[in-house]
Amino acid sequence: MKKAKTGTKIYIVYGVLCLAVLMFGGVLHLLSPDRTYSPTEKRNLASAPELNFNTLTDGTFMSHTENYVADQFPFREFWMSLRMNALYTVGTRESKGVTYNSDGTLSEPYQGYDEELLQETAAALNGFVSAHGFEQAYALIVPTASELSKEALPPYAANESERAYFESLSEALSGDFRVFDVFPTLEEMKAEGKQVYYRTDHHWTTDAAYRVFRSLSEETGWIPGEYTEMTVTDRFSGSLASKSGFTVPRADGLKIYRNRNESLYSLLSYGNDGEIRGGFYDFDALGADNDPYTVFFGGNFPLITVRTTADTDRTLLVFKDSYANCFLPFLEESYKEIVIVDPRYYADRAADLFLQKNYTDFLCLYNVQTLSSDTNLKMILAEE
Amino acid sequence: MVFSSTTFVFFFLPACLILYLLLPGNKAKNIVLLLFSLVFYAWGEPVYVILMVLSILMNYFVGIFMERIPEWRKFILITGIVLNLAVLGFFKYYGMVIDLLNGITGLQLKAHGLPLPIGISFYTFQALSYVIDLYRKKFNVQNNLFRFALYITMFPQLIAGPIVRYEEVEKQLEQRTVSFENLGKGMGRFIFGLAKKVLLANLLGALFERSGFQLGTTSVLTAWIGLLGFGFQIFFDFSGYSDMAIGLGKMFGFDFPENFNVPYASGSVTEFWRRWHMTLGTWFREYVYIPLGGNRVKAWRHALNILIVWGLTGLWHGAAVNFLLWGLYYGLLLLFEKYVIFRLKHWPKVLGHFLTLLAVFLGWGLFLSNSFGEVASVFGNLFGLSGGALYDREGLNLLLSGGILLLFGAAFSLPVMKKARIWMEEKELLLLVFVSIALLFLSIAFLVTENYNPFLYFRF
Repeated sequence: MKKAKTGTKIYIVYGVLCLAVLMFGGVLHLLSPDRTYSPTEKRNLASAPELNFNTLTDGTFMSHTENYVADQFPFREFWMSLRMNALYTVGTRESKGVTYNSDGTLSEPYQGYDEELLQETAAALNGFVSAHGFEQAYALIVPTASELSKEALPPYAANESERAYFESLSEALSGDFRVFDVFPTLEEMKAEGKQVYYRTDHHWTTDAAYRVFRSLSEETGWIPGEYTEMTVTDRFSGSLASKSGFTVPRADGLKIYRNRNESLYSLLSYGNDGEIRGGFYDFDALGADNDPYTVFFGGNFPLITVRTTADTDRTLLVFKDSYANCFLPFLEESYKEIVIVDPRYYADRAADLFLQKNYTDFLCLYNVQTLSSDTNLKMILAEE
Repeated sequence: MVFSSTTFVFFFLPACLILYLLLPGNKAKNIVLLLFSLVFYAWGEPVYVILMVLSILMNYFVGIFMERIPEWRKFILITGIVLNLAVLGFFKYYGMVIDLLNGITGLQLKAHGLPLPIGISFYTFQALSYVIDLYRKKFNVQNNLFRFALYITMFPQLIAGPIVRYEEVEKQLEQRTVSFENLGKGMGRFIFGLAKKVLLANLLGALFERSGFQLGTTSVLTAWIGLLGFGFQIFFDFSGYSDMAIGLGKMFGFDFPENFNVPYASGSVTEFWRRWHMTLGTWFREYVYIPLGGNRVKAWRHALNILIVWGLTGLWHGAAVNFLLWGLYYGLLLLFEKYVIFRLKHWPKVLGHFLTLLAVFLGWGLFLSNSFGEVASVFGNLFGLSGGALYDREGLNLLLSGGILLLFGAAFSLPVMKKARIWMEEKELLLLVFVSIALLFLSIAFLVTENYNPFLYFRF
């Protein structure tokens, strides 16, 4: 009898407690202000739903409300990390294509490539270069983290060879191209214990970009220059952390290199009539709620025209992905003008780039993974 | 709306509970519950809520007429059954019938492709149980439209069961124990169900999705991991949802029938169907099998009865041929057990258990396929007939990342887990409180962030 009474009492307390917790959660949710952007997930968070007859009858009000309630839930970051820790405990080492490696880094294992796309890309590049008669045409195809750290990947993760792609592409590119094999340089850098890639982001570090730049400067005639290094943030949590939800024990630092040559100056103009900026770096990117990697150029844009005070007549046309963002500033001293095209966003015709202009050099700078799945580059290059 | 969402857990449910508990008297409580249930349904079906309301009215009046015009009882009953089945048939099976007709006759009739109203299979079956049992004079007609509407729409069991027959809740509509003690008991059960759904079912389902073994060629290892993932997903999904339904019902003072009883511990297929989705089995037995004569007929007629019931059971799960085949598959297995296996003298229990699990999981292979192509992929991959290796990198990857989850799935399917829960509920309440708060916490982490949140029995 006594046990029954205690049991009843516990149930009563428990019931009321649970109800209070749920109520409290709801009230807390209502009282907390809405957030527009999540820096950890790098996406906009759902905003309050619109209530009207249409949204009610087609159900969009309901689904927006559900998204809104979930997205604006108090202490969202805490719940997300609780979830990832739980998943990690039961053996999850891969989330949304990103692996959590045994050396405490994140990377994206290479899934392989489509041979036909490779041939089409090479053909487009070959055609483009022969049509425009550049003095120099460079291909700089860079491996990603998972290529250099195959032994740290979780067991049985995808591990196709990025080198295989590189070699296949090199063979397919015509004699007009100088194809740079930077795999050994980066492997050497890694062997020295230096950080080649970010732990939480898919990009190579500025140090790695500089290392490669220096290794190529003799062959290309690029002016090495002298630089001051600066770590602009030591709490960089990059794209792979946002995408996967994994957190790693050690945060990344993000560095920029400033050229010591005081007389060297650049003006960047964005698009055809867009903004004009002095210098390569957008320091607003380092503020809260922003992606620090966009400190380079402010991010990815369809077209950026860089005019420098460099003492040379050489000009450069670049087709690139975001790996080029931390590399291109090193070319400031070597070119009077650098025109940078990102085929993922560039909507005009390639021919428009040659109106009243010619370029001495051409550079195709991509990381293997992006290039091997990209269809935009060949489309833009191939059109007449 | 679904139970496993932050909107439901933190807004809808507390609001409903508070109003329900505060307002005095059974009548007020019933109205609160009815209104919230209509909102709950309309949330997911803002237009088809009207269909459900019409169905309620129709069945209510069938009951009233049966009472008022006794000479026509049989005719009214048949009308009621036909109308209910017609609605269900139209919204659910129209497309399938048109496709079959096209296939057989070569015509190109257009199927209108109506979206299936949520829960229609459940609430239609509940309405039928009322109409048929009223005819059988198991209870008196429900004169109060609102109480009848409450029976059909009560949100704990509206969307995904358990299928509550009217006679099981008739008295509770009028009188039940609403107490904080029941609130606590219900919460405990609800949280267990939520954890099953959000922590086990969703993750195991993700494992199944990753395997992709119903789509292309995979290794045998990948296929079996995928199949196990699906088999555990559907169990934890559906039994978790039933737990939540029973828990919610308890919070409002209702006692709903159990729907699952450790089905994966069954020693035979016959036993399995007495432990899996029990309320559906009971419904088919009460309203189809027994009226057909059950097993009190000659063997050939009994076999026919079984096949009819199981064909229909299969079709109830989905308007597609693979579901029909799945049902018939079980019908044949049950007949085989009854007329062959059970007549054998010695039947080792372990073997029985193993073969039952094998039969059930292979059945899931049929259940999850959406086309004949998928059936071919599923079974080709499972038995290494489609050219896949015995194991490959992808399979090993899946095994490493999902192995622990599968072990959890197996562990929580054991009878000892159910016994542990009941033991905690009765003897070690403080432990129950602690465990369930922890589960709630962990579940919230997944509710807030997980976009992948399907409920497999949703479209039935």
